[in-house]
Amino acid sequence: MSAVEENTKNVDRRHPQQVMRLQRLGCAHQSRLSFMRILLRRLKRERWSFSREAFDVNSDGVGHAILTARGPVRSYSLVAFFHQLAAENRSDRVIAEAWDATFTLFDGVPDADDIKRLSANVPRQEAGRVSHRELSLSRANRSARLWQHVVTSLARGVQPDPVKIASVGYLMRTTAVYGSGKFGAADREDIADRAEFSAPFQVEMLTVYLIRTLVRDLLQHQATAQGGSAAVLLDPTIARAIGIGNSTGLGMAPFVLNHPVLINNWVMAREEAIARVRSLRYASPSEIEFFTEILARSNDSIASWTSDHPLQQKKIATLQDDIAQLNHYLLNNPLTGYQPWNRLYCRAEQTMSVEGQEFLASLMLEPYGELVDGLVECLSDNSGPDAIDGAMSLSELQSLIQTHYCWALDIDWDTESSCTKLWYVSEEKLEPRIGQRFEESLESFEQPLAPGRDVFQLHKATRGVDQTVAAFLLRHPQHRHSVRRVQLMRTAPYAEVRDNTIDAAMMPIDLLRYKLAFFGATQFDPRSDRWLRICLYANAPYPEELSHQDADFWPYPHQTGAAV
Amino acid sequence: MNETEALARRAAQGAGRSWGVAEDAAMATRWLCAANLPGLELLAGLLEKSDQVTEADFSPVSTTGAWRGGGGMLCPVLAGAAFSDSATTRSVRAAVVMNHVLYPAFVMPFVGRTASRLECWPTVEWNTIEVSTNGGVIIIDGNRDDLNAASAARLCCVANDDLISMDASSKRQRVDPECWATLSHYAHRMYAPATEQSRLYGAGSTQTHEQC
Repeated sequence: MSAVEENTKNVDRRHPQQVMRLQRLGCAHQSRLSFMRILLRRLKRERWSFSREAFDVNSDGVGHAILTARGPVRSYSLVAFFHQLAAENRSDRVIAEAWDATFTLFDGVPDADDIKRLSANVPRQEAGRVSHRELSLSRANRSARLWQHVVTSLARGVQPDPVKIASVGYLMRTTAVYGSGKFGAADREDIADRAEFSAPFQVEMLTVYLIRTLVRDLLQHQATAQGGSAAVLLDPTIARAIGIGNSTGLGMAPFVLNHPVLINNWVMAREEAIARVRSLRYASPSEIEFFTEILARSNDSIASWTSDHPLQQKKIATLQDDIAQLNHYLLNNPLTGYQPWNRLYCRAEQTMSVEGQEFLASLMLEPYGELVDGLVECLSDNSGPDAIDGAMSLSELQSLIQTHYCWALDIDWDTESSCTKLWYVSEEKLEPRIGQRFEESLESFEQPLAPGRDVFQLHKATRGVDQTVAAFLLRHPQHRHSVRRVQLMRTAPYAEVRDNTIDAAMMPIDLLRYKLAFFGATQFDPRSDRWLRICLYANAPYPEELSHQDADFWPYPHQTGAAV
Repeated sequence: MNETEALARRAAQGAGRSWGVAEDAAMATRWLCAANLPGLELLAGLLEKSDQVTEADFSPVSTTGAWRGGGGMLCPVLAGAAFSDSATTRSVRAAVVMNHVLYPAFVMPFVGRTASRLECWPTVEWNTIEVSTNGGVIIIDGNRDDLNAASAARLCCVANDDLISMDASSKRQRVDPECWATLSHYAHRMYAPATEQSRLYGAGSTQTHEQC
């Protein structure tokens, strides 16, 4: 038994009814288990090497580039195409048809024939076709304002203004990163047995990491082309603060509802990590010192988090208050007593906002890599759909519903506000959207993204019926989907969002933030109730820095200018 | 395969299948394609024959005795799903007989997945073909044209103990464009026509170009 294990007294995982509420999901924060951090830890641990195999770009910034990442077993290459795009054609919407840059992650190192094939397809994105040698397809647009400022500054021989960089956070933002079988690319199942891709979304995370590097290189190339001998290189410290932006819309929200086992595994792993840390009987001086340092570093990154959205502004202000209060509390109450993390967390539930509680829950995990990081192995779902247990009696099914869907049974589904919204798919690029049930003629297109309502109907249809599930479904096949979800609850209690996803007050950005926080995103900036911008890899080391920079705690940057 | 499964699910939904049944149809299509069997063609044929029908009429009336559909014919997805649902309540060695089954090869994925779960080797017979599987390996004996049969008067599933193995799994497939178009036609029914209002309101964006 390790020292860490000896030091524990069990605290239970938080209850799904507490965790899986939209309000709390909409306050999610990155953690040690976030997918970007998992990737960078691996790249450093396994000493991956990186080389620019091609950079065939003209002085206008048009051309292609290849950046290859070599791991212990396999290599992967980001193939980038840079285009000239008129400002009026620059759109973040999924319906756009042209971008500043387009990308694919190639399995191996491409040859000339591959590049010829990719150059005919990747710039067209959804309208093109890639092959099983490609693992992702992506595109990005420049932040016109910041791009211009940085290029012009460097060309003139001066460094860009860090304040301007902090106000945007990125030089380009991706508007889609497609993986897993989309548009002909390799299926997730084809690569799931590769160790480097065993955790979720590692292909997408590697794609974006390499995009960030080539975008920086393109910027430098343009500055040098413009300024000639007067141009200077971008200061690495400033470069490190620059991430890749991302615009995320409704397309991501159905994923959360359509992958219940995967979502359960993500949440279960984080909840287990939180419970393990809360269970520790004592914290060592070095653990306390490290937590205190990370908290101080967080103050700076939270202070630079801005948003124009009133709801987010309020959340950020509340979080800043929470952190100030937490700092004050820790001054007078050092974490030296019995079960310090549990006491700190329980106090947070009493005194801090949900945003603050989730921030603290993630932060508490930071000193405990040994205790937490093994849970990375539990994040994926390679099991495939479960068969329905037809032998189960309807009374057992009713009991499961009452245990796990009591929240849905408590909703009055006859009221208009309980089912005002409706999810559908637009024929334009098959984009998921939300409509108004009572104002638009969309009901025949409705997607089944209201598990609460559907399980309520299942509960009503099975009440007092003495049958097996198999016999019931013979006559009522329309309930198969809900039966499958309910039975899943026996092994995946965090699988369901325990709120009404078609309520008039439902905000899709809560679902988006929840998923993006697992990616490791920061700087959430909602632009409406249904799309937002985020920043990925801000403050992360670049590939050439991985060997000598920290690759784990980069989401908590030192103040600009401080030693890393 | 993920694209195949997604198209199959949406096409089944567009042809009037409820969501859970569409999920089963998509799983079955993928299973068949992975076994190098014509899953998409079979699904296209099935949906053309059963477009917008009432599901319960094509579902087995009962799973005792010979199975038959309430309206006369059995949908292989509904019958296959019932086979899977009731698998643990009957003896592994008990034969299951289904009468008047549309596209009988579509029952195979459900038998295969059940075989994998219960670790057994059933054989399914219809017309002049026998197909055996343990879920991962498939052995075909008889007239392969019957894999594409649009119906079978009788399908029988029996336990089998004496088989050799042959790996037939595939990760990618060639697709018949005509068949893909047929399924896309059904899937398209689930896509709402875009309007300027839906573009702005439905996705929540009032920004059409760079504003940053």
